[in-house]
Amino acid sequence: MALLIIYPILRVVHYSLIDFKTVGHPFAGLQNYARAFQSHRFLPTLWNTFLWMLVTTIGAFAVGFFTALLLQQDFIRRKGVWRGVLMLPWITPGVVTATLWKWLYSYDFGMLNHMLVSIGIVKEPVAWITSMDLSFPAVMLVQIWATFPYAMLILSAGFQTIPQQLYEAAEVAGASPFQRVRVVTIPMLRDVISICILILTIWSLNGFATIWIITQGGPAGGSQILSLTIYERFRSFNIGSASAIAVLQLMLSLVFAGLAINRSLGKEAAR
Amino acid sequence: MMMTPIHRTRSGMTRRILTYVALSFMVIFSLVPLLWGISTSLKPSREIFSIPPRWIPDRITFDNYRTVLTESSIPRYFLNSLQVGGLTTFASLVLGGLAGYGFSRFHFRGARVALLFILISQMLPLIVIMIPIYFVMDRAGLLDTTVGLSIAHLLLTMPLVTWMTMGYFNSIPYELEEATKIDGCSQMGALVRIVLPLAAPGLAASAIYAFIMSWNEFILASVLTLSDASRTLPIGISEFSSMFRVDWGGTMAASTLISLPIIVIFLFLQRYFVSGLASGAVKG
Repeated sequence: MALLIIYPILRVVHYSLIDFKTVGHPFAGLQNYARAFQSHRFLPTLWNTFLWMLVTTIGAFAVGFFTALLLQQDFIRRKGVWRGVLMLPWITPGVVTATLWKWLYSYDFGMLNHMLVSIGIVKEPVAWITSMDLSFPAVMLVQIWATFPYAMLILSAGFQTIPQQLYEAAEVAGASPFQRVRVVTIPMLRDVISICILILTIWSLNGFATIWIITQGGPAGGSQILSLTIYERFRSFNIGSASAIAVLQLMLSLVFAGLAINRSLGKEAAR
Repeated sequence: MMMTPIHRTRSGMTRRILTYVALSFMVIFSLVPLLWGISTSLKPSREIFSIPPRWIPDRITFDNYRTVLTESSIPRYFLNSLQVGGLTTFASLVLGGLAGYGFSRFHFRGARVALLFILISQMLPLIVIMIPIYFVMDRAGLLDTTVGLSIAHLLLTMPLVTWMTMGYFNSIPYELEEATKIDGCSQMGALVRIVLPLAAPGLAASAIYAFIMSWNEFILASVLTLSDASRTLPIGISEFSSMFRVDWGGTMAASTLISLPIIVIFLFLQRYFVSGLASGAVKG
């Protein structure tokens, strides 16, 4: 099993260090890295990747947390039905999600523009996908739409482990509903929250289909992130360069994976 | 499950209303893209490009579905997807299930390290391992075959299935197996007769998870499949759009057909699935 993981990693590192374009694939040192990192597109893409991770993770977590809180209210009936419906965005295949939103965002015929114009929020239809300023936020929204149910689910399950007496005690002490969340819910769920955020971060870093299908990283690299660059380079058989960027992405993921594992092992030791 | 009511009579009503309004907003947010897709799939092509766009088609038509089912490669991809999903699920259940059983029952050296690797592998980006997998499949002659894609998907599903089944096996007391062994049953006999029936709901949840992952997977499928021989449904959707024109009716009909099985399975088995996933994360 470990072999299944170690072998591909070693391979990618190996590929990133050889010159694929010369016969015999000689060792190329760090040439692939140098070339990949010196490309004028590289820094903006790296910056976009961080922005993408930050916004989609925090967004999905915040929406998920808020929804879980709503579902937690004691007077809500048929929680299973509400939750089932709210889970649909997550269950929908990624490719379908991206395609649906691409159509929703359509400039002339899209429902989103129509709704916004008819409510009066905007006067003119908005060019969601082709505008330099909006295409990136637009794909971020799609990623949040597709992943918030996961946060909702995990946090809902977590909420149920909190003893009710704590809330009652906080209420007796005069805490407002908002304060009750701050002093009871968040501290009690520290572990669940951090695992949830880490998983969302990893998904976000590795997110691909959403952007690829909706904007292909465009316009002019405005919504390009590392995973798209790897895919494009690989598709054009620029293996060395694709691998070099892949190694960078791998290291980023391993940092987050390490954090997550540290968390869960620490918890186990405490038990 | 339920919280005991916190009585706040004065603000209780407002709170109720606000909560329901917010929940309804979230439901609308979740459903709008899906309903819009279904609506489009039922429209004749003239109406798809009508301005302003309308939610309910004037004339409901199943033409788009007919086109998808008779004139496109979607039925072929459907079979491929079923094949890949079935193979992946079966193999990950057998291999991952046995591994999960092993981790749960036998305490051997290196078990913790092995589990650690399983956790890490869950976080490995597909986009990174796609590169070596492609070359391995190429060398093995498995490019553009459903078997090749299934093996690749196994990398995706095995860690999670192992992890999930281990949790289910842990919840079955070992004393039960010991009792059967005293009665003259072998380890394997105890597994088949006692443990498997008890673990069935958990195994079913893992199987569903593996199947859904394989059914939805896009990156590996787009790289490892080259023709109708092995292409799966997620790749098929893009075939309705060319550089200059997108057949939105067909695209949406195909999207609906792809999502429907998954959504139906999920809604029916939500309970097992949700508790399995949630307990995994909450218990860490």
